[in-house]
Amino acid sequence: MFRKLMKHEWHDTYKAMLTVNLSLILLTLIGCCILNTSVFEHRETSPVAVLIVFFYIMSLATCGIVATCYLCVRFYRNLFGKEGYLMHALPVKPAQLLHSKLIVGYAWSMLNSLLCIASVALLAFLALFQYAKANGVDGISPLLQWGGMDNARIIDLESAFEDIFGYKPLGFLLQFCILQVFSDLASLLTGYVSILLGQLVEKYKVMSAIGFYIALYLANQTICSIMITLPSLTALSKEGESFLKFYCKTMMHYAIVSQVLAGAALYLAALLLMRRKQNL
Amino acid sequence: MILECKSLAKAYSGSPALLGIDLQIGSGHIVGLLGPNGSGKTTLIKLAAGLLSPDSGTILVQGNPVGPASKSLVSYLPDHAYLDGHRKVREAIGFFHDFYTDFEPDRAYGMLEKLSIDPNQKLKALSKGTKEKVQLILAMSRRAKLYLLDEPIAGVDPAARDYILQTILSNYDESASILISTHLISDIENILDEVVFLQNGKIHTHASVDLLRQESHKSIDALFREVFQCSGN
Repeated sequence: MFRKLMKHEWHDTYKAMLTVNLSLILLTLIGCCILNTSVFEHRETSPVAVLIVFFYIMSLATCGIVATCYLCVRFYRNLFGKEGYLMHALPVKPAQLLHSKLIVGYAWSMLNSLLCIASVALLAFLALFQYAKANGVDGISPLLQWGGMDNARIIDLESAFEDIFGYKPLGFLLQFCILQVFSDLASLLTGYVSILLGQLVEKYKVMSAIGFYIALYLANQTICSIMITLPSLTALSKEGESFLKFYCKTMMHYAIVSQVLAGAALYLAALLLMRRKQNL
Repeated sequence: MILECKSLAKAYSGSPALLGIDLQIGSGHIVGLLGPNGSGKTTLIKLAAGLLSPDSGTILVQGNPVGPASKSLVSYLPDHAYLDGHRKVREAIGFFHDFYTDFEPDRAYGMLEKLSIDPNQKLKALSKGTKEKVQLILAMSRRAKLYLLDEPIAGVDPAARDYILQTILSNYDESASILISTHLISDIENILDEVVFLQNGKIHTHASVDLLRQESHKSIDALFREVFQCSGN
């Protein structure tokens, strides 16, 4: 039964989520084409360039928000709207309903986030490449030889990045991907738990769910902020090591741990709320 | 017993909807659940379908407490459209076929053909009455033990009502039971074996239709009007 739930959940969500993810790919391709023009090379066209970058960042954010909103609205409508009369009458356990939606929704969220990261990384690399090509800046020129012609200088660039941020560029990207993967789970579960908490209220269930979402979001951000502030206190007492390097490296670990804990707590809450007595 | 309710009670925000219902429905019966608005008909059906939880009391479906086991025995039809409008009729049939082992797609397609409903149409493109017909077809295409039909003929034209009632009669097992809630008593009273009159969350009368007719010398429709008019409903 669980597999069938997953199959139908996938079938019912793929059109909308595929559209969002294809939009991201299209956006990245458009970005690549724009980077190949001269819009970023001249001082006169800089307002246009700023607008393009602004539009790109807004579009990325919109894709993420649309994907999360869609998955949360579907969770609400499918389980607690009129379709809930069908879903809750199925011969399955409530936890199976939650798990099918969580696994499929999480898979889509992860894909969405990884595409966002890939898009930013690709465009950043291309921008750097174009800049170096146009200006011939010595510090960036090794990028032009990324094909392997001058490995010694590439190592220099990586070392410089590591000296500042405590990670090599690819290591930083990997750590950021891990953080995003866990924060996606926490984010999706924040929406689900808010909806489930909203169901405990007699009236204004949707408004209550939105209120619970804001409260949970703020709580998660506050705890995460406190946790990533902790390494800075340790860094201040360290001598001889770059503050930024130590802070960036440790902060990332604390941020990942905070999102893992938030995800686990929200998952248990969702499971508990789904198992409570049903009242449609 | 197919359905067994003991001291069943349910309240909404402190207002009682059902008060200590004791009800037993055996196999092979078509039971009319009748009562004025707010008497607790839909609440009773939703409790048996597992969409509501009782405040006190128990419900058993063929000896099973409400849960996945009881839900596999119950075919439930709500009083409103509940299917995703973006689905095609064919997809809705596929969905039922996937989750209910007793669902018979051939029967569903046969009934759709008789009612000239295109299975490739999206549900949102259908009229309200046609949607109700599709939902009834889905519910009656199962070989369930208990059919819970909440207002199955309320939204359809009188000509289609006869077909729907015929569909109900010809599509259930002798060993199964049907609980139908409706206000259109005159339309369905000929197919009923028993009636349950609900009033203010309590069972006013539970008797066989033949016995009630014999004793009162009235139709069930006339008796209903008399009972609930006298009580001020």
